[in-house]
Amino acid sequence: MADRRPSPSSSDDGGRVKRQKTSKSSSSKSTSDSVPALDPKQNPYLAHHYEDASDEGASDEDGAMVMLKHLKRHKTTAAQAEKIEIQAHNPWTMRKHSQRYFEILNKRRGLPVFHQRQEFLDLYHKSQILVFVGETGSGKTTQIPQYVLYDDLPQRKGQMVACTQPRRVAAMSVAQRVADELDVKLGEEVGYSIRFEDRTSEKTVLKYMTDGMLLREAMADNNLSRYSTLILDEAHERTMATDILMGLLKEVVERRPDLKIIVMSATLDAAKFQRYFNDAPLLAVPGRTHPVEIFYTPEPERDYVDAAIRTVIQIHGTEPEGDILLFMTGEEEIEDACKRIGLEADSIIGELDAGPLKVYPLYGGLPPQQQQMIFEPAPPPRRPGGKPGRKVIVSTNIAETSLTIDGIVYVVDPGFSKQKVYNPRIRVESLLVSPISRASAQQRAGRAGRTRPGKCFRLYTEAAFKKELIDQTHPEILRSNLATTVLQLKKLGVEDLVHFDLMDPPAPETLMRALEELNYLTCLDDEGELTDMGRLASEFPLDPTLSVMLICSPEFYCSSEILSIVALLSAPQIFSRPSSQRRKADEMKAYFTHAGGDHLTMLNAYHAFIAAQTEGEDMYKWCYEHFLNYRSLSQVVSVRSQLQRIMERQNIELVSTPFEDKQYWSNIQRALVSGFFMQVAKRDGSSNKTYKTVKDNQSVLLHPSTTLGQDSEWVIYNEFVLTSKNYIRTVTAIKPDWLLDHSPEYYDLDTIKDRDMKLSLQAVKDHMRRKEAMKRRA
Amino acid sequence: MGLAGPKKRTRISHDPNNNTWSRSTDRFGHKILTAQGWTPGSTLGVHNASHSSHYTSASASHIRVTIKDDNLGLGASTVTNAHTFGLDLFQGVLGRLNGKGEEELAQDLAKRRDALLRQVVTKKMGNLTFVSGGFLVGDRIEKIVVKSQENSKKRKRDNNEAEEEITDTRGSDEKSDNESGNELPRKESRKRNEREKKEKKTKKAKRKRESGKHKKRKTDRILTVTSTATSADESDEASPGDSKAAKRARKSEKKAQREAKKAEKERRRQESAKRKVSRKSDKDVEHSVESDSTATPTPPVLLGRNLVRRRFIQQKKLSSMDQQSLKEIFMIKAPT
Repeated sequence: MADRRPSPSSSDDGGRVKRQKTSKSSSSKSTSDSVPALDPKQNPYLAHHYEDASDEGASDEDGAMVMLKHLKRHKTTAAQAEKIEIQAHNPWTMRKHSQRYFEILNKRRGLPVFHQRQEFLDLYHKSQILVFVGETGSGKTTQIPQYVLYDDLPQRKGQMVACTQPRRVAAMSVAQRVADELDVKLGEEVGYSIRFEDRTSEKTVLKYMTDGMLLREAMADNNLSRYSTLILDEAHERTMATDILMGLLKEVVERRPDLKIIVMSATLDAAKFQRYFNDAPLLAVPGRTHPVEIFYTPEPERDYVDAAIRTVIQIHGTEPEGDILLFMTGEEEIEDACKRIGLEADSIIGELDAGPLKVYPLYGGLPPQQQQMIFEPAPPPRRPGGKPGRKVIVSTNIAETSLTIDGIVYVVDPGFSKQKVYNPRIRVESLLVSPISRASAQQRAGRAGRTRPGKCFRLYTEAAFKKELIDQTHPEILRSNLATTVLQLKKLGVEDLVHFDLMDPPAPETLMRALEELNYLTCLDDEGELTDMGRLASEFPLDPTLSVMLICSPEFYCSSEILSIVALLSAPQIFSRPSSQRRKADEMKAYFTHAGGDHLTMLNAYHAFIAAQTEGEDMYKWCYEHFLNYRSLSQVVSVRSQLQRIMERQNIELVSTPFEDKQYWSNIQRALVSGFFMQVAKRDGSSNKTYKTVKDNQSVLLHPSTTLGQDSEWVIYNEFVLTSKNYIRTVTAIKPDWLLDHSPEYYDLDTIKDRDMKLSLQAVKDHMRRKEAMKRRA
Repeated sequence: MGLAGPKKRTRISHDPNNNTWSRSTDRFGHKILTAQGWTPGSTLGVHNASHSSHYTSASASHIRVTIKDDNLGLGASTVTNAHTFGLDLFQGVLGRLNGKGEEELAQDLAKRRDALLRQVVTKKMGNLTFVSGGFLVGDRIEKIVVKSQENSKKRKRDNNEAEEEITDTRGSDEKSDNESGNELPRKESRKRNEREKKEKKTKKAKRKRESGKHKKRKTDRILTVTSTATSADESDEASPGDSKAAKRARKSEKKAQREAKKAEKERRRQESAKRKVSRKSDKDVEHSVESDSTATPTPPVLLGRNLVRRRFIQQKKLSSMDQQSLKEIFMIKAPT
């Protein structure tokens, strides 16, 4: 049975009918069809006992298949599907079910969603859009798609059921789990598709994918005709892609009445989802969580980091067994807290018979094997009968929803997280530490009740919880620069951006800013229509600034270098500067420094890395010695190769100026201007240090980490960093005539209000004109 | 921090909010949006969308945040002068071991280990107190799930002030919860709490408290026998409950009051005892003074000037340990 999902016309009959004939003596077939539910053979708990017996008989290998075939699409009942599930043979693969399958099946039938399978099917049959609410632990992510599978039978029409996840890791791990549950091989009947990795085949009937992937598919096929049912999971997380997908699907369902949508969310703001989908029916399934007792501090804390560490130690000293989850804001804070908790715990253990304490950090930038360590069990007592050990996980808010760690009984919540915000007026997108929302605080607390009743210690007062926190975390679409999104929407065929039906429409100014940026980048023409450049730029999974720079780079004979720089800018910081060895790290960085600016310095480091790699050095050691981040650099290498593939597909040539050429560096700088011409700062008059951003006129300082060595009046920057001082980070020197040369529209002197800036640009312009005239005369 | 704090010099640009940009109407973005039927001041999205009541202010204008570059906790402000005099460092001192059976001995050992650990942790890190805010059931907080449990848990880690606060709120909670108009006076509701708690012997806090009581009684007995316990002796006693004043008070109360009210008294006494524990260092002073006033056979002879002086010193010491008085001395305005 190589292909059970042939083209829709031939349908699935051919293969199956034949098989039916070969095993005609199947008395078991009829039994399995008509036997009452009380037959012990039907009992899922005993199913494995009868496996052999049924095999000896006439093999009901087709029983399951036939039953599946007899199902009427969108008319099935839970009982029918359950009956098929306990057959000895797998209806999807025709293979015999493994022992493990029945073990898992038993567990699956204990999940809260299982009890509402019929209820779910009834609602699913009745309406096109269904909102499904289930707390974590209800089993919705793994079970609902399977329930749909047994009812929707997408293979009959050569279609698929897709379930989106906000995160790649989730898509991969859930697909693996569901493949095990259905007793099929991952990548065959059940597959996943994430950016740069597609593990599906023509057999695939259930596909887990990231929401971004589905959005990309929607760009190619606006009706998403490959899918019979779409399940948007974790919709409460409100990622940008999920939000856009929801808006899009609201339109698609009108064009495609056969398409069914299930929006799955954790309990939060379900009413809003219902409302948004024209009062779609709602099905709620309780989770399997234990009560969590909440504690507040009686007074606000002076120092939340200190208070958090004290709380952890206090829990370790006073509370019974159970692991601790501490939420912190960022990598640095987490590492610091881990160190301090470790020290404090060691001193107690040294003095007294305290249980051992293991501290694990957890944040996005952590290597995967280190991330895996959080799942290790808590350390055992130091001697038999001693106080049991405990593990502490210090995490960013990724442990809030995305990762589930069993054994957590205590949660310490300082009430902060790093959140992205975008200010369209000064065009700054930054990650800032800000108070979490009430919904988020509840979510954090809920993490303590996964295995048994837990406790949550909130390092703020109850009054602060009620007054200072907002109700819901703002969805990503309200917190980001929309340039990429607008480009995507245009590609998706959304013409009317103003009336696009989003669950939370972004601020008008944010949309305006995005349109203007795209217009200056020539991705949109003056009527707001997508240009060829825009179409090309939307092929790259990058910020339009970077895509445009990459597309323009062959003009400057340095597309290879720009490709490296783009990859470097898309990866996390490559230079490491541990607090204990700052001076040494700076010395090493000086080794790569290019006086022209940080982009060039990064490129130097990258080239050195590649050179060392080709020489066959131990790269991990080499990076350690040179204070470079090995993980970031390997990521750079992989991103670069992925982008290179897209470039090849789009016929963008990969060229580079010979290194000996005088123009080598200046070409790169010019190419940088082609993308970053809207992120330019000019030195502010007399002052030596302060710069002023062009057009937005914000006073900024060069970030202390800059390697910019030469005195430069004009610079481009990659990032505007908001702290108590405004910094521009990753800076490279440029010449003003390049600006006027590349984007005369943006540098239209009439639109520049700042007098000083206008005068100097005017001077540059005059100079250029004179030069031009000279050239012409010569 | 005021003037003493580190100086932060920032240059504020001429137009930090870039109003020039946001006010101009001849921009490309503005043009496109108005061309598509947007009017300034309105939000984006479908006209009269059914879910528009769920829109937040962030749909009208970008999210504004303040930059946070300190470790100040949520709700704390730089201006209010909250205290940390470390009063809560001295909490949870438990009685010492008097082993009996093999099992009890082991139990006591474990208990003592826990207590010691707790104490050291407390000393090392300072004690953080928490106020219970109910249980998270689903995604709602439910206040009144298993009240007695909540109470006993609350009790465990609260310092005396917080505890008083809680008992107040608890009392009122109780009242409001009793829909049947059962307007018990606070005392009685407390009493009932007490009884409930007694029933819940499985709770760890309870166990701890009982062990404290146990020891207290014992020490009381010792005290009645010797009737003169030197202050040094007492400070050695790690038990929280033993103070002569308390003993005296209880004695007289025992006579005067009915059996039913005893539990309530004990609780109060314990509170006061706890308070005393928190002022561990002035404890011996206190005791010696108290021994002045009690009819012990050999009171230290203190006359006239010495007595006055001693009282003065003691008062000073006391006040320096008491947060409220400290605030008065330093003329700090209490934040409440």
